[in-house]
Formats: sequence, structure tokens, C-alpha cells
Amino acid sequence: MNSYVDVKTAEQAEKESRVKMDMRKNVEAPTKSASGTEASADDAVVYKMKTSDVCVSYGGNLALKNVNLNIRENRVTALIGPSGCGKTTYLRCLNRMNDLIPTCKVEGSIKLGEHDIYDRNVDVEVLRRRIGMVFQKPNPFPKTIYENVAYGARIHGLAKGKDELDAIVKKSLRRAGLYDEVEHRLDAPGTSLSGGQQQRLCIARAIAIEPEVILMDEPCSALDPIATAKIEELIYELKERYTIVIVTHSMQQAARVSDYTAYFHLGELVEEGETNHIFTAPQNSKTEAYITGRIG
Amino acid sequence: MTHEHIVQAFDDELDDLIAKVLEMGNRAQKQLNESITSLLEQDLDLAQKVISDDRTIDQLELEVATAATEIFALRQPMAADLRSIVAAFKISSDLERIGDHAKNIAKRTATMKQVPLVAEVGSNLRHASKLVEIMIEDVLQAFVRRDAEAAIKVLRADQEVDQLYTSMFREILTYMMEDPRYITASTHLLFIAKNIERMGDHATNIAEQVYYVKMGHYFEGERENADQAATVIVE
Repeated sequence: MNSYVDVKTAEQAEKESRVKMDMRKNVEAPTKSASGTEASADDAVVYKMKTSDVCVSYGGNLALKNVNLNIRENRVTALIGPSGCGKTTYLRCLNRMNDLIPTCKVEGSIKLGEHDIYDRNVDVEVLRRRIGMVFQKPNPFPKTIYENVAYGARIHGLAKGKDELDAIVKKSLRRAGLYDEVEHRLDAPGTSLSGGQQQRLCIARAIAIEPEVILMDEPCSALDPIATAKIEELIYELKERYTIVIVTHSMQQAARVSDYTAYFHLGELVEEGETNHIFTAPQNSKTEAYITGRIG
Repeated sequence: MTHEHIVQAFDDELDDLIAKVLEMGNRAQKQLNESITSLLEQDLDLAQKVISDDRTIDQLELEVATAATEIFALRQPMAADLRSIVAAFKISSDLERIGDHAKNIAKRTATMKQVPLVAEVGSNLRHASKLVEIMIEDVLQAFVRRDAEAAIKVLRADQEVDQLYTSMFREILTYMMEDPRYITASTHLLFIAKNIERMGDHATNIAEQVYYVKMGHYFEGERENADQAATVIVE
């Protein structure tokens, strides 16, 4: 009985503190979506990333048009919208993954903290250490489970010796909720794990190098519902330490895991706001039509 | 929303849900009308019909609850769809209560036949019940059209019902004081007047749901309460 009471109390405290935080977030939120909550002035809102007037074109085709969106620290921001709306393009701008596409041109300003990530002095490898990414399909290296996690930490020189590296691997696997399942077979190939385990391994690999932001591009689209639930639970835990931006095709997933939701349509950011408002009372008729299943 | 869902079966399910709520509303309205008629015309057969017909409304409420639960589980509705279904769910429970109040009035018809009816109160009862019937009709129309303005009008209309109730309360108390032989009948009449006043409150609850469906937030204006009966003293 005691433990039940404790859990409930902790949950209530968590809920209350989240409500307070959300109230604060309302104040400076640059959202186009009117929030239903009146909030008092408070400057506690912190934006981890700020993007202004972001335009992206592939060849001559404009894929993103003047996107202004700020990403809140230690929160989960979900990007939703129909295929081709620009949500993945936007996500890939946040750690310069689009640099890999020769015809891709990115304009506007994208800042991590106060620094423009497209500044010519920025070392892209360092940037991607600070802004990690998890992809649609789990893509472990063809190495052992241990090496998959240790690799990044080693090349970035985060561990002084074997003991430190072991500690990083263990900590990362724990944070990714995978350690208990693999502790006795760290030498097995990463590819020997199930799809859901592989995706958690990729998340462990991403957090081993202590990023500040984790970008997730449809991380559950190749997973079954149980594996999906585990990843969603993980996302909830990870936001305590990291800022998370997730692209998802599942509106229910966006509703379940995110604190803020941004709806993209035809390369434009149509509406952005607190997830509970976006899914119960969106302000824009295009958002309404999409989330109620009237346009695809 | 002018566009239809990509999945047309979802539209059909929503239409069915709304149709059930409307059927409940029409029946509740009819029950109110017939209960007052049975009372004022001392028609015991009609009173009995009102009492037995209430079961249909109860049954419809269960059907609305089942349909809404299934839509939640199978369609995961969002935004205006979500609000409509939540509203349908809550409206059905208000309509069921309206039906119960009508049944309660009908039950008193048999009792009132055995005691002298205070005829003067009758016209006020008829007037109040007409007002509530109109409120029910208007609010259901507003629900179908998602008309927030019409919903606010219904909210305001309840004030007149409250005022009528207060004046009936005062009137009935006066009869009791004038002649103790009227006390039994008058006490029943007080309950009947209260039943009608409560039905008006349920209609305003429905109006608040309609407002929510349309606007995405609840009505923030003061809900005027003109029911002063709680403070009436007749000396």
C-alpha cells in the first residue's frame, strides 16, 4: 500500500510541476495556436533551438517556406503533417544532415543556443555530437552491442580508459532501457537484436556521446506496438536530460509523447502549440482537417 | 467542417450518434409536453404512457454511451470530432434526466387527481414547460448546426424559467397559508414546478456543451441564475 501511495504522490507532484512549467511555457511561446490557459508572466521558458525564416530548396523546388519555430529545452516537440509537407526536411536541417544532399540549399537562421549552426566556423561533427539523431529504421553498426555504443564515445575522446568506456556503455544502455536485456551478451552483434531492441541500441548509441538535442525521424515506424510503447516510454524519460524533436506519421503517437506539436503542410508551418490544445481545439482549419482525418 | 472524412464509415458513425441524441431530445421534449398535459387534464392514461415511455429514453442513453465509447476506441477522434462526441455523451445524460423529471411529473398526476388542484398555478406551469420545450428544441438545433450564438440564447432563456419558478413558488406557498386543505396538492405542485425548473437547467447544460463543440473552450460568461426560490419568505 505504501508504495502505491508513494507512486501516486510522486505522480501528482510531477503532474503539478508539469502544469506549472506548461503555464510558464505559455507566456513566451511564439505559438500561432491560442492556448486556452491564462498564464502569469514568467521568463523561465528556455528555447534550446531557434529557427527563423528557414527556407529549404532541392534544386529549384522549395521544400520549406519561411519556417519560424522555436524548440523548447527538455521538452518533446512533435512534427506532424502529410507526406511531403517538409517535416523531415526541417528535422534534417537541425543538425545539418541536409548538407549531405548536393542540391539542397538552406536559408534563414537556425540557432543552437545563441550560435548559428550554419556558421562557416561550425565543425559539423561537433555539431552532430551535440545534436544526435535516431532514424526510421534501426541501423546498428555491424559490430557488437558494446561497440555500437562505445564507438562514438571513443572517437570523440569521451573516455580515458577501458573502465570509463565501460561505464559510458553501461549508463547509455541503461538510459535507453536496454541494459537488462543485453547485459550478458554485450559481445553479440547489434544486428542479432530484435527490431525494437535495435532501435533502443541506436538510442543508446546516440546518448552515449551526451548530446543536448536528440532528433528522431519516425523512430517507431518499423516497430510493433509493444516495441513502440517501450520507445515512447523511453522518450518520456529521456526528456528530463535531453531536448527531443520527433517526426512521426502517427498523430496518436505525437499526442502521446509530445509536449508541443507543430503541423506542417506543403512546406509551411501551419500551426504550433501545446499538444493538448492542438489535438482538442486547433486554431487553424488546415490543422483541424488533417488531425480529424479529412485531408491526407 | 465542410469536408467529409477520408474514411466515410467514420462520418456514418458520427451521423448515427448525432441522430440518436436528436431522437432522445425529441422524445424528452414530447415527454415534458405530455406530462404537463396529463397533469392539467387529469389524463391518467397519458400519464401512464409518459411513465412507460421513459424506458425508451433510458435505452437510448445507453446506446449513445456505447456508440461513443466504440468511436473513441476504434477511431481515436481528434479536435472538433472529439468535442462533438464528448458533447453527445454528456448531452445524452442531460436528456435522460429531463426524461426522468417528466416521468416524475406524470407520477404525480394520479395523486393530484385525489386532491384539489390549485387551478391558478396551472397556467404558469404550462407557460414554464412551453419555455423549456422551446429551449430543448433550440439547443438541439444549435447542436446540429454547431451554433454557439444560438446556444448562448438558450443559456439566457433559462432566466425566464427561473423567474417563473420563483413566482410559482411564492404563489403556491400563499395557497398553502390561505387554506391548509391545499397543502398536499401544493406540495406536489412545488415539486412539479421544481422538475420543470431543473429541466431548464439541463437544457442550459446542453447549451454549454454546444458552445464547447463550436468554440473549443467552455462558455466563460456568468451563468445567470434567476431562481430566487431558496430565499423566498411569504408572511
